[in-house]
Amino acid sequence: MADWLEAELAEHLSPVRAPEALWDRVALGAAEPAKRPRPRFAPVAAVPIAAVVTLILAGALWFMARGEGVPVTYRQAPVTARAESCALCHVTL
Amino acid sequence: MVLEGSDRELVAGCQRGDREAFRELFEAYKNRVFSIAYRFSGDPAAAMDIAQDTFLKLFSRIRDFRGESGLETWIYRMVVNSCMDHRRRSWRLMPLAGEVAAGLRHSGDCLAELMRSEMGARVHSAVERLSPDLRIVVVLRYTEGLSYEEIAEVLGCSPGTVASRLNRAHKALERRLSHLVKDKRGGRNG
Repeated sequence: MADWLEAELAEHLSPVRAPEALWDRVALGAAEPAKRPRPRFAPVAAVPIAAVVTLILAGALWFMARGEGVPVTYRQAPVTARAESCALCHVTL
Repeated sequence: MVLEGSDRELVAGCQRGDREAFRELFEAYKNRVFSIAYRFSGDPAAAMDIAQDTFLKLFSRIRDFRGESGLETWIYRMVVNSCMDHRRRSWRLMPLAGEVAAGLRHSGDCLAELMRSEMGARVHSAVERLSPDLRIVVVLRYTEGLSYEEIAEVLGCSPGTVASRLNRAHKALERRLSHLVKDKRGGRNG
């Protein structure tokens, strides 16, 4: 290993003093019931999530638009004919 | 039991639930715990979280401490585990925010101080980009000055593994920082 690297690491990774507030934090934490820390929200994670949501929305729009070109036809049949065609559901009085 | 006299009394006091013993243990190890947390995370707020987590675990588990390893090694293991847990739980939003703020604070100082600050920021940034396994070895070596054997005992691996990780870390850091050293020397010459 280069000597300069050893010197730079020793200089810039030297020990630091703990802040005075640390004891208060520890004492406070010991007094409180243990809480599970929430993971911090990272904006970086929002990019793939937004991409997936966009893809799902685009797919849904495409799927709906595909059905619009097909005309829905419904032939009106006489009420009596429809009633006669199905004896199970329609009772002729 | 590998504990020395003072450590043995301290541990016995903590195991009895003596608040003064807890405080004494905290005072004895707070700087070491905070230093590792800070050098590993590169962020004072994250270091406070890690140090708090370490001491809370330490106080709650001290009853289970049997003294198979030294107290110092046991505490180092705990802070290393807290660092790794913290790393898994969170992402760094702005890795260089601390360094940028530090640079602004130094804006009124002389050029040499600025260059030193810049180099410090680059070293921290390069260390933060190491994988957690390599970074913790570098921190234990350069912040705490532990030997390969001591690091191996803390991490539960062989000294050979420690040497290999340090070697990989040195190569990565050398690659990332060598141009700055050349610039620094060039600047001094010119």
